[in-house]
Amino acid sequence: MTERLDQQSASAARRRGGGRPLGTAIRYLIFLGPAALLYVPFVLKPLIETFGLSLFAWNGVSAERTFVGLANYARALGDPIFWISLRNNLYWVVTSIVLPMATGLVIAVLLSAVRRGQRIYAGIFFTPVVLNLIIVGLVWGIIYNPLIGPLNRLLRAVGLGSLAIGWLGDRYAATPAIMVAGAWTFFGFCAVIFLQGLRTLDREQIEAATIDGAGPFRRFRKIIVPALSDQVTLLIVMSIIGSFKVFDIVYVMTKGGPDHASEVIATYMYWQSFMNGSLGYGAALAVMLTAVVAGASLAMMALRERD
Amino acid sequence: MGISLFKTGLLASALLSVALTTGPSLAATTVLNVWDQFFSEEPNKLMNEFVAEFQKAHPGVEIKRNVLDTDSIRATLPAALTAGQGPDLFYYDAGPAFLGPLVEAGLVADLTQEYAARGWDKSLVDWPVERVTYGNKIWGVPNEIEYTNVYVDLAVLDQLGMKDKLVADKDHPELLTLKSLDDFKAILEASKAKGIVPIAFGNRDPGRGGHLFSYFLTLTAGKDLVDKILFGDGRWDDPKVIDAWKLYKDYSTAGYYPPSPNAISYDEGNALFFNGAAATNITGTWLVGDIMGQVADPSKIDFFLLPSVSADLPLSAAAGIGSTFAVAEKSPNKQLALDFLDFIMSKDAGKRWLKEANIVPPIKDIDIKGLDLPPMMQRVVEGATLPLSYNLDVVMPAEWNDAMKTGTQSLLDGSSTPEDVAARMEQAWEKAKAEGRIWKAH
Repeated sequence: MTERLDQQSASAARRRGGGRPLGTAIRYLIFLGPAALLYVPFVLKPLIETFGLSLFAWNGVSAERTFVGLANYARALGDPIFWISLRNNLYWVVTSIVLPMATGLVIAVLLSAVRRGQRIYAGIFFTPVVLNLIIVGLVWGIIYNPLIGPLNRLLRAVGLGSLAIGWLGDRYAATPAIMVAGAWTFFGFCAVIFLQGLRTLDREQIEAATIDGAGPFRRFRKIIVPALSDQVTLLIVMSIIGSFKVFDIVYVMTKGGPDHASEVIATYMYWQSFMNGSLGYGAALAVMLTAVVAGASLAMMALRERD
Repeated sequence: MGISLFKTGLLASALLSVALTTGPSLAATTVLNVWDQFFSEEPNKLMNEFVAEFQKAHPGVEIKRNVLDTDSIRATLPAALTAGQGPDLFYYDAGPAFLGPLVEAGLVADLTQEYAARGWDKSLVDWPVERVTYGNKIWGVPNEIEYTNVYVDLAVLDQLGMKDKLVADKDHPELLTLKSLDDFKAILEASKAKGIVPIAFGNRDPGRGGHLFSYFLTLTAGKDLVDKILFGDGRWDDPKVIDAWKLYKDYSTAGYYPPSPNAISYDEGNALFFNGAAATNITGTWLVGDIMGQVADPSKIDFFLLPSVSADLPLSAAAGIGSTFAVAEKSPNKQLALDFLDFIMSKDAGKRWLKEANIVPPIKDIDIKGLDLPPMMQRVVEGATLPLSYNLDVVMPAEWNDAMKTGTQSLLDGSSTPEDVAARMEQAWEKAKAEGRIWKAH
């Protein structure tokens, strides 16, 4: 039936003399036009211009720009701070996938069993998501403070004083400390997304599994987790993008220090562009960051579709 | 005919309404856009007063202030000026990494002639003006002399029985100093023994460590060696530079800084001192305003200057101007901007900078008698007349600053040695020098 309608519409189009391609083009234009009006000037154009900028040595103000080709990219490959930043971004990806998603999933499963006040509890867990990251950074900065921070006080109180260190000033502890603060802002979001997925779960399937003798862990692993695969994909892609774009919380808590140890690409890019007067190099870092984010997101979605 | 008359009437009405609505406002108001960094309470209040008074004296002039913190103005001003959307007048870092590129790009007005025309060449102190001089031309008007010093809690010092260590300088009796650095060490040791933090110090933002380094370099090497490095054939891996780093590191090893200074912010470090938990605080005269405003009893706070390592070096400190006023080359209101600068850099205004904002303006011969300045502020004014050296971060290129600032952190966590840091600074300096990105006043 549909096929016949398509044939009729195609032959009608041919009779009108315009043919199908023109009609399709107009239809594309109508649907894509409004989005393109925003996308082209505010996304595509800056992206192309940033790539163009990355091919020059430029301090951002000089009238002269020196064309250097791909030298800024080569410079990044030989720059140890770039590699520290990239490594930290990868840590962020792993941590933000594991920590908040695992916590969020556990909370969602527990909340799904709550009969009364589920929305209130979900709202409470969601609160950190709506907080400004600058505020989050300041609050966690106090928590980690070696002089007055509650974390070190707690450690000393329970006899773990040897673990009480200057968290944000220690080159090995700074990045994990910021990541914990970052994860705190994301787990509530994960919980709400998983909770929504759990609401669409087929209860009969779980009951059947229970009758068949499947324990809670087995039901969780074999039924609940596979049923949440769409949510998992969404959150992983968001985690990847968010982890590579992370800037504000790092900037507020350590500015990438000490000695660049907690630097991520975005903070390093900002420093190179606006504090070090290397806008061309900063642009190259931005392009590399965009390529990594796009590549990782596409790979993730391709993997998901293959499954 | 009737229609034509109607059209004519309509046109006349339209023209009249346009003239009535837009005409007067165009003629009446000239807007002077000013971007500054006076976000602290007292300087901000004073700037607002200056603006109001200038507007009152210049009918038809409106001054629009955009108050930004240092990072924000660094991130936005160059792009704004390049795009022709920036301010007419701005208050910006004077160094070769900041004002320097704007000067080279032709975005800043050359004020050399104005100095002669407006008498600034005679009314302003020479060395601050030199800090805004590139290639023999003057590009800014500095408004603040600031230098490093050691604040001391007199109550704590008394408690330690160390008050007699403070002595008046032989050449500048109004200024307090110590007989030797050993006396400073004695104060620090006594503080440590009493469980009081000897030096309040937070280096999470390593600019603070940079101030300590600049100060210690003044003590070990003096201004002459720094001049030799900046303008001659001196090197940043000179043994005296390494000595300065060793002094910085030794104080850490001896436990004179609070635990984990790299994890403590500048404000948190200052709070230790303000609350009486630390005996001393090595920072700069820019903190006087905060001390007056935040310490419950400011009269118990005073400052002294550290004696140099060698007796043949004069009493000194690391000094700078922080930021400078500059006029945008493309500004259509240059003369108005300069008039405003003239107004806020007059001797009368200078007294108000001192009295109301705790800022020492680089204006010569301000008579401070009758201003009723607190004793500490009087000492600050006196100290500004010393042969001061350089607060280095302001006059150095960005990558050198990065090597120096990260060095202050890596020395504290033991991942670098003084020799490593000095070598990295020299390497960064040579690179910037080869690329012509260093400060060349003349």
